[in-house]
Amino acid sequence: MWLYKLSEKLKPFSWGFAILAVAVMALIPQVAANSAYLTFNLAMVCIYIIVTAGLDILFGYSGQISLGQAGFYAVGAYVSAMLSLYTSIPVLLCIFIGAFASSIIGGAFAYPASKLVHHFLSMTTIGFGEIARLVFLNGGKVTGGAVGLLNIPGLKIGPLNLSSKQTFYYFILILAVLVLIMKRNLINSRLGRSFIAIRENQDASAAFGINVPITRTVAFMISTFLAGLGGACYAHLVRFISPETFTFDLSSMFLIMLLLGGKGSTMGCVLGVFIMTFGMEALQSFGRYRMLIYGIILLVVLFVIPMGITGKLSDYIEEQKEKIKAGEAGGAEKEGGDRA
Amino acid sequence: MFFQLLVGGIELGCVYALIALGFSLIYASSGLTTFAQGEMFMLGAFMIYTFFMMARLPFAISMLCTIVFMGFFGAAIEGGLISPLMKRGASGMNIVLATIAISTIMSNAAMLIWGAGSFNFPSIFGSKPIHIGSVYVTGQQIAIVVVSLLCMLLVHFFMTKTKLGIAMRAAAMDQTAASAVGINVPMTYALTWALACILAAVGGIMLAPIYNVYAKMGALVSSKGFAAAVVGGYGNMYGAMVGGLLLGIIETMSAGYISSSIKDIVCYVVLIAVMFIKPSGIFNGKVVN
Repeated sequence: MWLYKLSEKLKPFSWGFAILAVAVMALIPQVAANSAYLTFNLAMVCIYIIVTAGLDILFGYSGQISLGQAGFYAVGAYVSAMLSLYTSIPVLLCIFIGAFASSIIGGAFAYPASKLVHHFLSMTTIGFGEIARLVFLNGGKVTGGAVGLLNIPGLKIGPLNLSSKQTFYYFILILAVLVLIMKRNLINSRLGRSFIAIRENQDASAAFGINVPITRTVAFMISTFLAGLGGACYAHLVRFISPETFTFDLSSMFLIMLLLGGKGSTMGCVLGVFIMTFGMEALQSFGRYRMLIYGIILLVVLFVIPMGITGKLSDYIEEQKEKIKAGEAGGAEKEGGDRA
Repeated sequence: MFFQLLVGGIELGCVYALIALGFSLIYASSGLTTFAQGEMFMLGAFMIYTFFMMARLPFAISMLCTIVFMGFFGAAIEGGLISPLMKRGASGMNIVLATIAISTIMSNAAMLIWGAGSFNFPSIFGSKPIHIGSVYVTGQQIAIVVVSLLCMLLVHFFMTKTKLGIAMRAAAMDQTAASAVGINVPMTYALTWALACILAAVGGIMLAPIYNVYAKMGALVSSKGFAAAVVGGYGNMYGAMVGGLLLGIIETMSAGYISSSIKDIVCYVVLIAVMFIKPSGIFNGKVVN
């Protein structure tokens, strides 16, 4: 009972909590000991939130799967890094060109793929991810081959120098917050509702005048834009990229973050990203057993909370709500009986 | 040059076909996709290494032990993990993630059990090249082709001529009707996984002398096997065989005529091209809504 009552009481303050959470995120690097390490991890959390929010639009809302997000992440990272290294385009612009490049490739890929069902879409996207990685690996001097690209310049906006990890973190934090707000607005818009309609029933949504292939492609382009944006931020945060970062393992980690937190909710991807990022850091101390434990935890999660943490919570709250309603109805009946 | 590459392609293609056959059998029987076929291939190679090199058993007995072990292992994975998940109402995507988890666990457990090194495995069937015209062929290569074709023939006869195989196909076609005529449907699922694991393990046993045995060797064949199954027509047994051969030949030809760094890209491009142009593959698998 308490959980439902608590959630009802807290509902009007949800914006307040969001602002509080962002304020805490912004303050942590200033007050915490060991802040360089923590700031870097928080910056990675923000990058992963951007990517997972995109994946949620794709998978949670429009019902398409991608196991090749690392490929689009890599396109964003490489395009932005190469532009900032080889041309004099400002870094801020490079980041967005990287994201757009990723989005355009995503669209070109998604339109012919829009008719494929789950497993096949996932395998095709794995194919894309591998092609992207192999192209960057075999790109010779332009992409740096297996070594990758070094000395990628940091971000400078006019007189503002955001090239250190501490300052660039605030830039990514603001981006992540903007992405989450835009995602929320998108889902409540006409386009967002058509994503959900397609997820629920393709034929019925086509009958209501939704252009299914185009809408599915748009969802894919939004999600690959965000994957590219995350990748570009990663490149300018770490200032060094190499093909071995952008493997299938990264793609599956993005999906696991989303499913752990719970797809189809704002809180879901934030929670999932936090738990996975800091969880993987905590597992670091297990050395050789790290990936084994990771696999076992993933299996346990699939057994215990297949709908993710927020999915489980909202199910639980719904259950309590039903109970309370049933209790109230039962009580009213009893009172009526007494009077008669 | 062409015929030499063709020999290499057929050799590699036969192994891809075995892996692809596993993918297709599992998909046809339960509509699920597994991402653990590559790790089954790896485990097969490690088991034969254990029985033959460490326990010093004769090769035939080692192979038999490996096949029996892998059969039970596949059935255990299905019975212990996949069907309980299905009973809890897991979506197809959650099953895919579960098989990703299983493959992570398997390759890391293998690294802890056998070590992170790469182990040599001797060629049982001879590595000395034999001249046939202008083409060099090793005994191992001939054995790979013969054993793989034999496996495919056995699977064909098992699925079409034996009662058990027909029951498996019936369960794949219509669960309810199959259980109404007295077929034990959960048993057929376990059997399908056992068969898929055995096929992957045979691939691992045959390729072990060529690629050595190491914990990450599953990556050699897992996505190529899937691509082969797709090219042939996903879910179709014969499609998997033809697709495997085709993909093996395409891979070695592109390595030989273009460059070896491009061969993997070519394989994935073929996968995506087939998906975009004719997703049902050569033998009309069911892949679109």
